[in-house]
Amino acid sequence: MADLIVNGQAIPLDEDGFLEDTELWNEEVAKALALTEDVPELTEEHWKVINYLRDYFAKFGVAPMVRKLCKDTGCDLKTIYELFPSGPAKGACKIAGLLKPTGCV
Amino acid sequence: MSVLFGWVLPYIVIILFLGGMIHRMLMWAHVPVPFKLTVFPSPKTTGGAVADLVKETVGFRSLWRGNKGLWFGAWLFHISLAMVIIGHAVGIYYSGHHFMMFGSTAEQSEHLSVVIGTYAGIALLLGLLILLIRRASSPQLRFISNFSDYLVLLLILGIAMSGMYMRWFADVPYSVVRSYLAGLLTLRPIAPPDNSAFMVHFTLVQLLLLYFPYSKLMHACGLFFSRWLITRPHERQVILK
Amino acid sequence: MSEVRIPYEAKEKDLKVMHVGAVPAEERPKAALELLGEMLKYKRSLKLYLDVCTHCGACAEQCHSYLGTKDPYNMPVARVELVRRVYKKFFAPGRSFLRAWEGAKDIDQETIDLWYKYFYQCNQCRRCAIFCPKGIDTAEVTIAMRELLAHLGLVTKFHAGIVKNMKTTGNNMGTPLPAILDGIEFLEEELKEETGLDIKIPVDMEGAEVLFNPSSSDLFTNTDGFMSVAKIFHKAGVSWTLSSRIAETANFGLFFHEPTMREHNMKLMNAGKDLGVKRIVAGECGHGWRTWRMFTDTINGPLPFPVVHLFEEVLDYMRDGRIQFDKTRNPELITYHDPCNYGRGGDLMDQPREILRACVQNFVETTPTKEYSYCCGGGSGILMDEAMEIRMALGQPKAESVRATGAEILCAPCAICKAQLPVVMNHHKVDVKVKGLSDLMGRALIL
Repeated sequence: MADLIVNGQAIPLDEDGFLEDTELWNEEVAKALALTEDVPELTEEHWKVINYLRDYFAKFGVAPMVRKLCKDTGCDLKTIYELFPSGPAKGACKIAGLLKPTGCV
Repeated sequence: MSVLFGWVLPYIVIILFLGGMIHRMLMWAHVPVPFKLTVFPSPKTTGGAVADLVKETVGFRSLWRGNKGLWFGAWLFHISLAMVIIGHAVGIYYSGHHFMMFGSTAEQSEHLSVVIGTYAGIALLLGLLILLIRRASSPQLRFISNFSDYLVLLLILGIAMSGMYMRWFADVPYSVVRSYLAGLLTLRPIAPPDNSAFMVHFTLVQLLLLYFPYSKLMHACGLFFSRWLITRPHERQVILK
Repeated sequence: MSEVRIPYEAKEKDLKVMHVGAVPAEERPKAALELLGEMLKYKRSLKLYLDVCTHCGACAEQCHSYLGTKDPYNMPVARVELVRRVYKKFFAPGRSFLRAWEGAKDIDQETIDLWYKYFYQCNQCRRCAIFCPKGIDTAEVTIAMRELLAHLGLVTKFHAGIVKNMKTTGNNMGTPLPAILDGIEFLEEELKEETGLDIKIPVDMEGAEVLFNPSSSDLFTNTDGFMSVAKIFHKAGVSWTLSSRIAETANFGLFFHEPTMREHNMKLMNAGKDLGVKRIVAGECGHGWRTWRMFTDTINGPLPFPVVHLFEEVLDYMRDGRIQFDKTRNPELITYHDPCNYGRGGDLMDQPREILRACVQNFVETTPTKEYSYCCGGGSGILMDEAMEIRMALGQPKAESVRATGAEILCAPCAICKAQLPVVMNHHKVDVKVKGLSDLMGRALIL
């Protein structure tokens, strides 16, 4: 997939539009990724979810259980879908710069 | 000519036909089946699996499930073909007197043999036409049809039509055919019946038999192998209560 | 092929875990012929199916892939014909003119492109085998051809990723053990909060009676179902455990790579042997169940323990009176989706229905149902995002059969179905919630 251009710098994306290299994530990248996910603006609620995902990812190397994400951020699944239309596994993880969850999801 | 067509070819044909058919079946049997491929629900016993095979081969159950029109055409064709083949064997062997076993007179038996044979022949033609028209008229079917799919139908159609022609217009007595075939079988061949309809009929049959082991007609044998893969009774390692 | 393939191809570096290398495009036809020749020597099903088809077309209207896409190559007979024509050219007996009559055709790069395209539009659901008078099971051909493609280095990116995850972590999602343990601890707290009881989820407990093998998605999205299972074992008083080595009942190797399938199977059986369990209980996953149920014997020989399905285990508890359900807790109108590899593939049709009748109030069957049931459209691991358009088309016949029931809940006890059906139902505007059978059992269970 075409690279993501952030502040003139090209960030490589995989075919699914996820970061090839999760290390290249920063807040500017998140904003650019959000635009690819039909999220025009990242609000405080968005950041709460994104930061939680990033912390969990830093610790465990994967995305948390959806149930745990909801419980710990206080956002129910419906809210998450409102924030990230393609859902926790795709939209939220993509914007937070995580690897794409795979398997039967 | 009649030496070639009436004496030499039949032996070559029968050897190639039987040899080719057995060879194909041996080839299938030699390939292993590493995994159990049962499609459920499946019979639990060998008897059940055999019953399943019988339902499938005699009743065409799978076709009945999904496509009643195709079922009718295919079933009519195959059943009447089976009757015609059995009729040939019995009728020629007993010269049409086989119904005497059930108490009829010789004339009644011959008459009955002709009537049943005629109806079976008409049913066979009808089945063939249904299958042929179905194949030629549907865009889906044309997409999946090869030359041989039409060829086989046309060949059998030719055989059936020449047979019916003999029945209606060029009477070839059972006894003449019987002597000729008996001669072939006992390796003391005599001249074939002097009848062009018979020779056309007999030659077309030989062509079909020649083509048989190399064509989709092998499904007649392969069916039992392929159905057994998915219907054989499945034994569980541990039977739960 | 210059355009991007759907599904996406895995890159060469991602194939290493499967011990296959990428064959350069121009050498593929020749290599494919060699591979096909080899396969014909050890897969009787493949050889037979290429030989005995009469092109009657009985399969065409029975295939949800053809019904949904209307692409003529998706008629099972036409799909297999893509291989049959090559088989007729190079392997079938008889003079070449006879084989030409049977549609023999040379193999080129385009043939291989067509194989990749159309063998990834077959869900390996085996519905055609029910309607084929010869009993031709197209799934067998699809499995073989995907395997052949894999040896040419043509694997989907999605599947290669899953094989890699499985090898490194013992589950398809690639969840490392610390994350699994963290998740389990969280679920134990959730169970405590919900029920007030100390319901444990043991890991690697030696000498447990049961080794339960969930789908890894049960530990990510379908946690309700997983918690229900914990409650049921708790209530029945059965000692059970998970294995830290393998928390995955889905066996994607079945779909396209036999060595991977065998390795996965052995991994679980060895885990069971090492823990000394009395039974392995498989969680909600269709094709995984078929692999455990039908293939384990071939791969591992006689085992010291049986591999049973969660539903069989639960039925045992039910019949013994060890657990009871209160069906008023599931008052909605509920219908059941037969995962292909439970029904046609794994002899699991009546068991889930018996459980459903015990734990829901209003049950309605779809038409068609049981062995005639349509696939969800995600079968054989066609769950890639890039294949979404195809997935929605493949799911269309199922969506219509569910719509006709008017059900509020669609019970689909298979991880692939659970991932695919909500999207399909939403796309085709069928207003129904998708749940596992475990979820419904958990709601109705009297603790």
